[in-house]
Amino acid sequence: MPNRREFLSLAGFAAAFALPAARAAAPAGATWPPFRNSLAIDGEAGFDLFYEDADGPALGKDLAAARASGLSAVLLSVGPNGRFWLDDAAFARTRISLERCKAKVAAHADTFLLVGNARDLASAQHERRVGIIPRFQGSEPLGEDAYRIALFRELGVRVIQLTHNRRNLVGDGCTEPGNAGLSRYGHEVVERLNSEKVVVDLAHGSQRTIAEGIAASKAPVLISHTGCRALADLPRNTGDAQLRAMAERGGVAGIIFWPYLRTDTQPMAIDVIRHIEHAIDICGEDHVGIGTDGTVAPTERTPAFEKDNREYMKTMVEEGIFAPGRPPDLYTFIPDLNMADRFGVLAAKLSARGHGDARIAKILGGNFARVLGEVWG
Amino acid sequence: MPNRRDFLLVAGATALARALPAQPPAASASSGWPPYRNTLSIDGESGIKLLLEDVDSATAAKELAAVRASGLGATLLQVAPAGPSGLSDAGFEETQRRIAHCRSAIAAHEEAFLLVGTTADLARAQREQRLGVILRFQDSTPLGFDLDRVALFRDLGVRVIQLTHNGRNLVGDGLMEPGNAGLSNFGHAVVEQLNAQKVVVDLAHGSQRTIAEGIAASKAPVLISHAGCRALADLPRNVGDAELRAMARRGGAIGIIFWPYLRTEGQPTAIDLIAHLEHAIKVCGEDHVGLGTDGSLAPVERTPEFEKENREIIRETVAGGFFGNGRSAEGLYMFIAELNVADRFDRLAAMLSERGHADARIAKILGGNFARVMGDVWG
Repeated sequence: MPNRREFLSLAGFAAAFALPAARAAAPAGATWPPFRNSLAIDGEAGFDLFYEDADGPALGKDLAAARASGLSAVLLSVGPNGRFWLDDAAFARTRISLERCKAKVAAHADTFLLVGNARDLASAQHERRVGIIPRFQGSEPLGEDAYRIALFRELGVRVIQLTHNRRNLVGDGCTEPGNAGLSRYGHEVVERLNSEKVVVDLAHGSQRTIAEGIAASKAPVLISHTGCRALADLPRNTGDAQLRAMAERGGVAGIIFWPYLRTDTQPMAIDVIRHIEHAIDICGEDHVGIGTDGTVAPTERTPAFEKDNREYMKTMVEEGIFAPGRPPDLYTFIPDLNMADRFGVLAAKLSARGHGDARIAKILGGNFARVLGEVWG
Repeated sequence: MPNRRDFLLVAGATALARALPAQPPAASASSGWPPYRNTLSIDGESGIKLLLEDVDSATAAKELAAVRASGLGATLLQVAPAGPSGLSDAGFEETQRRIAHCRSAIAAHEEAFLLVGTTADLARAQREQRLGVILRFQDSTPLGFDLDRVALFRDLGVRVIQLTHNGRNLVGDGLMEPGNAGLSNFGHAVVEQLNAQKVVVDLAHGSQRTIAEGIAASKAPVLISHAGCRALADLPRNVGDAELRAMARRGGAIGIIFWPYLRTEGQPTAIDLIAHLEHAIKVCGEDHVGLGTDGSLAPVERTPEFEKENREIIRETVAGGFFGNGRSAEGLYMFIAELNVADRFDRLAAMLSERGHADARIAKILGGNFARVMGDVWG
């Protein structure tokens, strides 16, 4: 946070983010041949079309990017991104956001498919559609009532992240100085997520909330989008001890494409690879995935975009999301993976580093699919 | 918690109404402390049913008699839904409804009550032999996540806000949270806003870290309106010496509670209460100790019905772990039997005097210290 889309709509800059007229093509020869037959899942990605009433060219580009991505599924945040909390209006907004998401999926059924179970994931891959897995980035929509988990599951939510960056009634987010663990209510929420077969996601948690969430959950957990603290000691990243505990319980951590991968300059694909390789060292290859936390459509880096992005980064530093002293030209994407089929391009790079095809397939989505399938039953 | 009043409301029982004595017992002539009638005494938390809900006229009459007999200058009165429920829109509305009810009940009985907004009101309440009512929240949840509500509630009359009840909220942890979290970022912002709006920060019911960090964060003196000393009874609801000392250094005051927290086994008696007062004086100094009974102002009539309900409430509270692991529920009450009289402050003052405490010190404990802290904060 601030979530880029919310930031932009607040700032009224949405127009600046128009998609490129011609999408950046993946460099020729950079693809990994088995990609088209792999189940690729992004642990957190967005399409503007789910958040705005985009139409015309913008919509067309989003749909084209979805098809070009080669992704079989994405976890898609339908709320609450730390922006709104526990009142009735927030609850209503979350439900509307969820209904809008489902309506958009239905309206573009040639491109998308709503994922409710493991079979849907397989169908999405088979039919070359992008499966949409509705997810909460924070348990605030539950309010003070863990019984709402069943309600939201019926409405389609399949993954619930316990906290965003701040404290809520369940636990602490990574920007809280108190580093609180799970509250009593938090334990109740985890228990109910387990019994309702909704995946517990610990991304954005404080270290103790992550550790206690792993320990409390009877089912494997996701840390859907994060980095490794051992390589970049930042609150948003996950320490080796937590990575190990998560892996022991069968979970998966998705490596993020944000500036958290470094403590100084802008991360590039090689930094993503370093974090993936470190996570494999610590967790084993069955417990690592990718959660870009960006839009699937590539960003057109126009002068207007660069200007707005610098403003955005200034806000991120002011809010303590990124440490002061980092360069003003950070991006919440990886510049050399700024194309729709970034998973294919990254796979080729991993292959070139000597990783076996089977391992690459797991990282691209096999591991996420396993955890989701295990929890959903 | 369970706070007795909320518990009873939830259970739909009206035990307290039935439990009120036909006639408030008069203080026995011999047991009083002569300077009492000229002392400003303040209870850091007590309950008066007619200010909180609709009661029948007989109950109201009995309560009003108890108020007059109490000789209290003021009481802090908790008006917010405590615990989960405060945060919702319904909780916000319920809080406003309760404040409105309380204010209109005060106005309807202005011969007995006076709404306290300032130090001058406290003095006036004492002078006019009325009971000053200081509106207090027992949980910051009615603030939601909106700092502007501090000013709103101050305008409505709230003068003291306790940061947490027993559980976690967005500000900090209550004592029953195993995580013992400190203040959140939002919690720091709330303390800052309470300071700016001249509303007293109350740290009773907090986890140890929330109490410690609340004391450190507040620029104004704080209250710990009703609690005991951990050094004498090592229970989560009590306050450790380190926090007591830090609170005192910053000019605050703790009110000693009349609940079973004063012991780890058996029912506390007045001598236990005095032991906690004396320990707190030793650790904090006599300028930082007061009383917060956390019981109904009217004495409890111990009818068979009351005893039956009390056993249930105590059993549940013991089962909840509030009174320590393995505590026997037998014979426990949320009041001190020898002080189960309307003028309990007077009786206690006499006991303190007999123990050799000087009149000036007793006056501070009875209410002088609370009055000073509130005056310092309210300006």
